[in-house]
Amino acid sequence: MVESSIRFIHSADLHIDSLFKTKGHFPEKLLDRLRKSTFEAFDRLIDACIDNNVDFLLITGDLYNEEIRSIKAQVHLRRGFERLYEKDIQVYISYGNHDYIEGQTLPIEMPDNVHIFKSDNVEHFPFEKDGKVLAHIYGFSYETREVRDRKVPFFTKKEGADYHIGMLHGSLDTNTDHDVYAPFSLQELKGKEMDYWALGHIHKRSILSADPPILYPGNIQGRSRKEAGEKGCYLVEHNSGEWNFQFVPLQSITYDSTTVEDLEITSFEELEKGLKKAKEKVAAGSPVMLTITMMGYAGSTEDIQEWVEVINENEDFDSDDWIWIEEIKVEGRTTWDEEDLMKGSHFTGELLRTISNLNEEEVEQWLSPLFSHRKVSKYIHPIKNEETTDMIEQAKSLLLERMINHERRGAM
Amino acid sequence: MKITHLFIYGFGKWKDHSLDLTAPSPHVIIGENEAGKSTLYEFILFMLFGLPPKQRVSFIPKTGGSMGGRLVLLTEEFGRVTIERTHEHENGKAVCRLETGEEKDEAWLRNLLDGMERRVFESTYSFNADDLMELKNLSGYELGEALLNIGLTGSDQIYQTEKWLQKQMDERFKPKGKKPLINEQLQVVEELQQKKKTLDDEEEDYLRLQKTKETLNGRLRTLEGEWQETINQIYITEQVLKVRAIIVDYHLIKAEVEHQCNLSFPEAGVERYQQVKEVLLPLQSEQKLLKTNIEEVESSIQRWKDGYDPLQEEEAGKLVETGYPKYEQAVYEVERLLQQITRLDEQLEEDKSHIDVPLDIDEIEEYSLPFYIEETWRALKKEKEEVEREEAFIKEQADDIARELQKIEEHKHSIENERISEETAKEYEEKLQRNYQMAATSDQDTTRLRNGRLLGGVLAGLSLAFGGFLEGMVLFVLCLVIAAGLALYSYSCHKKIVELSERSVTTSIPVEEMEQARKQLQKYDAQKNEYHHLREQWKQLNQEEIRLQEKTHHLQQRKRRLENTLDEQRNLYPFLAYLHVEHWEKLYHLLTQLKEKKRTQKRLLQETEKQRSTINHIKKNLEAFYKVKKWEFYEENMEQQWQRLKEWVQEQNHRRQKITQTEQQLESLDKRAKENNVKLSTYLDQQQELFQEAGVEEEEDFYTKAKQKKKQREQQSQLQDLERQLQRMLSEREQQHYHVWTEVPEEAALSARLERLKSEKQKIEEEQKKNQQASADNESAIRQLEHSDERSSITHKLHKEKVELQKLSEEWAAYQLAWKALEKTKRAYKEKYLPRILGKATTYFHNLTNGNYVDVKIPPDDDCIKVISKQGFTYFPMELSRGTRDQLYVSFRLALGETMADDLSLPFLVDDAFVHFDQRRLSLMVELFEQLSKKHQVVLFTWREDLEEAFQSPQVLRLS
Repeated sequence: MVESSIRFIHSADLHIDSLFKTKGHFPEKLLDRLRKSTFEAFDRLIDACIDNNVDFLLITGDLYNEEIRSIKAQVHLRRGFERLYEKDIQVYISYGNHDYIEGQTLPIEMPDNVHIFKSDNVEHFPFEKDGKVLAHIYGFSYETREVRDRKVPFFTKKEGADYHIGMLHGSLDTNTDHDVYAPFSLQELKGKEMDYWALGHIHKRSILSADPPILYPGNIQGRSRKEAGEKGCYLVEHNSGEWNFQFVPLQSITYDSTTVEDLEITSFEELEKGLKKAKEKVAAGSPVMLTITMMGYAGSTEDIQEWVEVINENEDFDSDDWIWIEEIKVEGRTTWDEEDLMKGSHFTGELLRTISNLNEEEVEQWLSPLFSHRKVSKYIHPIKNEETTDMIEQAKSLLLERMINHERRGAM
Repeated sequence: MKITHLFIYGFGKWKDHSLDLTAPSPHVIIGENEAGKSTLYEFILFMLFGLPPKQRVSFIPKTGGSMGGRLVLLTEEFGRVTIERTHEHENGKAVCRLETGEEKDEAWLRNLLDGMERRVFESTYSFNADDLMELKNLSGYELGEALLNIGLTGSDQIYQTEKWLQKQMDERFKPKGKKPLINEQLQVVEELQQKKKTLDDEEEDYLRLQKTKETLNGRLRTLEGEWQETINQIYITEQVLKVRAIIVDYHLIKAEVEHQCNLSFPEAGVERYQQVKEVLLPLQSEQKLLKTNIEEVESSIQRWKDGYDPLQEEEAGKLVETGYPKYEQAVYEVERLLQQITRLDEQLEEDKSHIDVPLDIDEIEEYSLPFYIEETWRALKKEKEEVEREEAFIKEQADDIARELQKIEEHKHSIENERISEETAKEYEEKLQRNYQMAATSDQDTTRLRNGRLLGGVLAGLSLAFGGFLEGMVLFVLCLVIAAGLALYSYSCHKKIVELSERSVTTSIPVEEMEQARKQLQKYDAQKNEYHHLREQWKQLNQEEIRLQEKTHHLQQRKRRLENTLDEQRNLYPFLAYLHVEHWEKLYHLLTQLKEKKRTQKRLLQETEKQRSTINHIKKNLEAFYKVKKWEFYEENMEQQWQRLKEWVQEQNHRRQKITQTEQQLESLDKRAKENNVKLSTYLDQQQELFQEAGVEEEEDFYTKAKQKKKQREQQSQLQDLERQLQRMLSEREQQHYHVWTEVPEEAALSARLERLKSEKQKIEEEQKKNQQASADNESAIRQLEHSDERSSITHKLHKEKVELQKLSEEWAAYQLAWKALEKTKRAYKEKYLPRILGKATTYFHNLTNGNYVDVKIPPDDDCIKVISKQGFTYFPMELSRGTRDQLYVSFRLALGETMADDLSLPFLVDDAFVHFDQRRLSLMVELFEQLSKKHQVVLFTWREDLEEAFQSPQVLRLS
């Protein structure tokens, strides 16, 4: 193995043609750009494979989203893989929880260089180079939406290759932020003595271990402000006994957030200036979906919204450096102290007490006219748990703002 | 809680101003418009609750200086508390100082005020003209609502908020509406959903399309196969139709051929027969010709044979051939022989006379003259000559010897006389011996010097020569010097030699004597030697003389033996006597010649005789023949006889030749005839064979049969031809399918089939076209689906719109929640405080209206305020007059304030609240405030001077 060398790209969670959790109202053109972004990122992935002249490409699950595993998406992938086929670059694919095999309704045939793990039994493909088996690539695909079992024990090294690479779509058993699929522990992976673990499923890229390399490349295109920053794949190389992995950004649109501080002013000019300054902070050559947090803003959110709309309107989506302000968050703008208020026997205190005592059922009942509406309910999801809390908070803010700030302004 | 002092550092128009409110309230602060009442009011609020920076800025004194001030409170719990606020200090935060000297912060202050918010304070503890003004704008139901809210909160904010929330909700959603945002959005979403469903269905069609594609392709392949097959069938049928005529012919001929029995006829019989005949005819004619020729030749032979006698011819021939030449030869020979004999005779005579020895010629033959005789004779002649020569030689020698002897004798005598004695000779000898010993020593010196002289001379010469060759003068001179030196040496040597020789001459004593002795000695020696020699010579001559005598003796003996032999010969050949021995040898030759000629003559005579007998013999033969021929024979004319015979022989010869010739001709003819016959028989055999094979005997039949056979053949070949054509034009399958070899296919059936096939083909083609179209459509549908962006676009759009819907819904939910919470609080608040407030408000209202109205009621079910007059009538607030409404408002406000103040006593701030009140009402109000100020601090800000009088004991502060 010491003598050999290998170069490949490790990617995962393409989520081609997946939907964006973007807030606010936005124009068709932006929607179009967003919609294209996953495709563009994929095209960049293919370009990266060709430009770096890799031996093969690994995609560890979630190539598609089950709700939109469109023919278009599949045909687009096929076209990309055909480009690799022309360069004799192999592709190894395992399906994940978002593109599990049983969910495939319209499978499209892929070119011969594409090797897909066809079942949830761990199998392996030999990778040949110069007539010699250079690597064994192990993996499995999700047959159903969920794989809750541990899969690592079934990864068994088969002799006869210089490299052994495991493809695993799942998460650490300690990770509670996400649905835990195919759980594993780091110790377990290391015990398998694979040369490389190509992980998938977690959209945030991370290096769990550098030796042996155990990596999450993350997804290739962020789809909400929660998936912020650069997104892409890892270019992995093993040469003269050393592993090198280099992150290659692929995202077509970057989700980013910034903070504007000391913004107490309410004048329109200054608001505009503040927003522009925030945009300047993130201007990075690629299109950006921006979330701005305004610290200490005490003005009207409606004003902000108005300004954001004005500023956004000026963006040209045909260019490559537009910045769309997606959301403005305001922090610390309350001028009242809720706790103090709550103590008082006055109406506001009473109101706050009432609100803090609200329970979910009550809320649900109150919201039922819309959320149980025969037609509307089909398209919206009910408000539950934290959302309810958020919602109550929102209502409280509304009331306080309206009843305290509004009053005061009127009085002056 | 009371405000005791105000210290303004700077606030709006106020600067370094202080107020003392220590005296019991009510405090009436009177000032003109723009005198700074409101600013003062604001200052108090600022000191209590603070202000946001922006608002603070607007109160910074225009004349400069710091903005802020101090407020001194008197509290029940902490006593005197000083609150200090400045714009600059800690962002306008308050600093509270207690009597104890403790310093407290804003939070402490807030706590002191029971968490009171400025807004709540305002709506509870402060009154201003605007509050009443707003009431004017309310009407009907709203008014009651507003008053209730005022009763509860001191302002209509609840009501306003409720209204606002309702509006927001209405803008967003109405369960049955169309216009509100959510309803609109719902429509958008529904439409998109519908579209998406269609597209999803379409995409699900993809599988079906793929399947259809396969089916269509399969069908197309099948159709292609069928089409190909039909085309083939059409082609075959057309082909069969085309060749039907041939099939018909084929079967006709076939039937005919099958009916005929097979004729036996030789292969290529006619040709072969023709060939045989072609050869046969000339052969036969030749045969005939040969026959006649033979006959002719035979008759001619007969003719020639008559008149030909072979026996006689042979005899005559022999005669002519052998006899005649012999005869002629013999005659000629006889003549020649006779001439020779004559000539020999003459020669013999001549020879005889030449010899001239008395010898008869005929005798000669009697002497035998063998070959050795000649030898003997020659030897004798030689012997005689030798003897004579020897004799002469001996005599001469004897003379010589005798002469020699004499000479020697004479010489001997002369020597004996001259010679000295022997003793004298010895004397001389000794003398000479001594002299010789002396001379030997001087001789050695002389030799050495001679050598030195010679060497010096030679080297001197060489030096000169060498010097001559050299160019340099110095060298030449050097050589010269060397040469001179050497020459000098040579010369000295020479001188020495001369000296030496001179010395030797001087030393030999009596030279003349010595010479004399030596001469005497020499002479003696010579004489002694010569004498000795002479003696020797003499001895030799003596011996020679003896040998010569012996030789003479021998010669005598030879002479005698010779004479004896000569005599013996003369006896044998007497005629020798006539001749000297010398000529004997020559005679021998002559005799032998003579003898030879004689013998020749004799032989010639014998020959002549023999020739003559031959002539006679031949003559006799000729005569005998003549006799047989009965011809007359004349011996005289022999030549003529011979001639006749010759002619006859010639004629016979000619005949014989002719006969032979003709017989040869006959023979060749016979041979040819025989050969011809052989040939003929072969061909005839062939002819017979052909006939046999054909089963005929005659030529005519043969030809008839040949014709029949030919026809049969032609038919067969035609049949084969047709078969070949059919084989060529129809494939194996077609042949089998249409049974062409067993039957003629029906034309009608074929045509019908062709028609059917053609229509089938058309049908297939139509279906093909249809399928191809379907396939193309299908393909384009697939392609469209594969390349269609629509579903993705719609899905994203739908998603976006759904998010939008969600967002709107959540907005609505927030408003709904707020509203519902507000309602709930209101109910709770009402339950808690309303009875108290209502009670107080009823009292106030009763007082203010001077007892015109006795009760204020709020039925728990509809939240509607009702007032009851002293007459017992019930009125809704909107039914009241403006003034009464204001009184109701004030009642509620005061009731609320009093109620609230029950829990927390704070100063009441009243700002020009009663500008519109008439004198009567005003005094009522003043009365109320006076009552209130008994419990709570009341500060009144007004421009009305008259208020001073209205109060019983007001603390008046004038602003100017």
